Amino acid sequence: MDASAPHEETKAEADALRHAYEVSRFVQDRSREIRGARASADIVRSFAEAARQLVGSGGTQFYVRDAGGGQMVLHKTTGDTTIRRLGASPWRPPKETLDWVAKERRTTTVPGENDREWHTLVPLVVAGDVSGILVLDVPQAAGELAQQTIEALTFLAEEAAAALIAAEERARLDDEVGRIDRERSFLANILDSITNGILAVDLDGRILQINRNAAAMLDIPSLDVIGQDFEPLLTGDVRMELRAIFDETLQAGFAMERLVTTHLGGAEFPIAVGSSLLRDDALQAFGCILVFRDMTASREMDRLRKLDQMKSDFVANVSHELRTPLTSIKAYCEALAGMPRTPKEMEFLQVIEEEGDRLIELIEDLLDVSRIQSGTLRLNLELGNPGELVAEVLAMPRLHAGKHRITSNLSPDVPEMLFDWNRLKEVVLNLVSNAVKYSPEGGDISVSLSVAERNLRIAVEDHGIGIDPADQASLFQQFFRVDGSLAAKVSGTGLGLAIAKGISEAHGGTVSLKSEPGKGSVFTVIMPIRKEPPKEEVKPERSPFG
Amino acid sequence: MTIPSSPGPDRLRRVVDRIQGLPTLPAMLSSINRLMVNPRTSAKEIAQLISSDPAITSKVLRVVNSSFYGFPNRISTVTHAIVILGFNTIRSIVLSTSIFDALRKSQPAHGFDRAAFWRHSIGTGACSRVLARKLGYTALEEFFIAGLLHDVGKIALDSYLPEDFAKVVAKVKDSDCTMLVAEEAVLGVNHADVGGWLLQKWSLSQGLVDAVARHHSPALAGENLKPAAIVHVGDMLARALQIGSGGDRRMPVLSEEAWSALGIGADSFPALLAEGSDEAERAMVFLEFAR
Repeated sequence: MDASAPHEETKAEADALRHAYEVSRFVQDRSREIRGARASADIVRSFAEAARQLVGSGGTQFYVRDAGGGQMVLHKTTGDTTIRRLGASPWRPPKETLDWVAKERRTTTVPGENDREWHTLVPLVVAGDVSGILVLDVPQAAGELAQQTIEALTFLAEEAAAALIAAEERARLDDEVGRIDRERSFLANILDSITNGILAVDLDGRILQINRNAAAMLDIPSLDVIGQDFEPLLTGDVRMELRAIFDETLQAGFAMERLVTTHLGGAEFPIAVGSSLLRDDALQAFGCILVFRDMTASREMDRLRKLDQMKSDFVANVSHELRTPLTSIKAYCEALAGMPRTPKEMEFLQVIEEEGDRLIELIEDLLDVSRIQSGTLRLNLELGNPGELVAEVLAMPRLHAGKHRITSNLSPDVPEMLFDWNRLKEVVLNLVSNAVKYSPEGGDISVSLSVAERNLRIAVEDHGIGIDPADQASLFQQFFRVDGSLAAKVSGTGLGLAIAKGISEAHGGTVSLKSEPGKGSVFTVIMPIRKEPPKEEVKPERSPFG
Repeated sequence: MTIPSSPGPDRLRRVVDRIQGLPTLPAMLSSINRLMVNPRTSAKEIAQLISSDPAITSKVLRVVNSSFYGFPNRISTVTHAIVILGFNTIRSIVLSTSIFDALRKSQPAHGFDRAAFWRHSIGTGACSRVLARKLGYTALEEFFIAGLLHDVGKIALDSYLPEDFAKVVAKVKDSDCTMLVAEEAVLGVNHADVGGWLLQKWSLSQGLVDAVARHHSPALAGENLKPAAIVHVGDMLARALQIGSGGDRRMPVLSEEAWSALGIGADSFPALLAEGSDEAERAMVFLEFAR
């Protein structure tokens, strides 16, 4: 050993120390970077790059366990960064080698195609299992890989594994938080979509939950009041009333719904307040829930209903008052007609009488309508033959004034049944005279009577102008009249069909219509065949015109 | 709370003082250790050192190509063995072959079945290795060696205090007690104490020393509780699998501390036994070196 040896040795040791320091600095920097990455792919990428630089490898391959937890397969995104030599396919570790590394869980260096080419495999051990393997090319002879390099690789792999676990945990927590958020906003949306106001408070009166409608009705500007005492947020009567309801509910377990008037922007705003106790799973009360119903709409309904009633009463009263003088006028006309008159005088008297009759008819119609509407139409049910009724109607001379040919087809199957003779006669007359009126060119009108599924069926068919489909729905409404030049010429109150419908329904039946403009219409009345009076008084359905 | 178990230092010294002419481990081991202290040491340098001893070289290659390591391809040079299996593994292989070598030279006394003894030792090493792997350790060879050497004190006693050890063997046979109890009765010390002392004399790591010295009393192993507990349970597994024999038929007391320290439940026992059995079979390659 020559004299310079100790000096050389010291120098070598100093070099070694310096190198070791540099490596550990590098590893520290890179491990900080790996831990700083948030997404799994970024973690793997920084780990692969750090390992590549540490070894001086040309590129990296990263293998992961496939979805089934079985074989190690090349990862799609961070997979292969090896530089390919022209015409040469890159070396891939055999399955057995990957399995062996996964089993040993230790950084290892294995020969490639021949002994000149080596590859270092670094396993990523996550939660006791190898979740990935990084493959590096070793540029120098494998035997020259320093122990420290292998330890550094192992250390980086541990850091990456820890970062991956943290990233997974973070992703799981994010998922969980997202799920809870979605659930919460789902419930909040349900609450906000309820048209009633809802306010939940705890036993001390602190707000647990409030929906948008409650805030609007109580004039609370923000929904951000959870945890606040509800009373200071309110003013005046509302404050006192709600306090009273709250106290009552806590004491008695419930409170009667009551009307409270709030003042919003100067306008009065009626709300009904109901309440109940809030109970937990053990049925222990932990608060009170107040439900506010906007009463503006129901008040308006109330007002309209009253108006409607007034109108019906008015029509009934006026009609009645009109009929009395008309009866006198008719009586005096008859008296005058009994005295000797000039033909001219007789003609005038007849006009007066006819016009009087028309007025009485109109008033009767109005009275019928108002009876139907108020539900006071009384049927005088008696056994009778509908066939006879139809014949009686068709025999009325006024239907035969024009050039129409009116035929009837009366089925012999139609039995005797219970109905109100005069009312049903009114229905048939209405339908047939409509058919006459709206067939200005004349033509065939047929009335048929039959039994269909234990119902009486009366059909009136004409070949007149027909009814536009747009008008068909409103046809049975009172005072509705079809527009058009002909309609203007035809007289009528627009009450006939409404009355026909009301009477049919009072008998438990219906009126329906089939029509084509220009071809004609068929009106059909269907009503049940009854032989015995129903147990309860036959009542028309409640206000079909309401 | 260091309350030393039965033998005071004095009693142990009185016994081991009588052990004369103890073999030494080859100088190569300390050279390897010195090289491995330097982080820049490469596989090639260590390989050069090992290759200087053809006997050890061939044993190392024999072991690394065995199914015990199960590497899919043939490993033809020591350098390859080091880069593939790692520095620590190769050092452990060199260490275990050296220890087999050192102890083979001594003459066995009558009545103690050395072949069965080594089978049990290798089985315990294999089971300890399985346990360590299950617990997430990576330096598995340390645990294999600790298991392999856990009863080394018995060989030392057999070789160097043959008359006393013959009494121990006879006592076990007569009263069907454990070796541990017989040793305490005859010598006042047990094989665990003697083994620990021997490994210390060979300058092996404190972890290895504690794991061997405390494999019947892991609770007293201090900071090396876990290694000692692993060897303790490894011993039990090897006994349960009836791999070889440590010289007695009775199960020594099972340490509750060991189980709780390792956090292994009884439900994992069947899997451990199955894995330990397979691993032990593969590890029997070491048996060749004991002959």
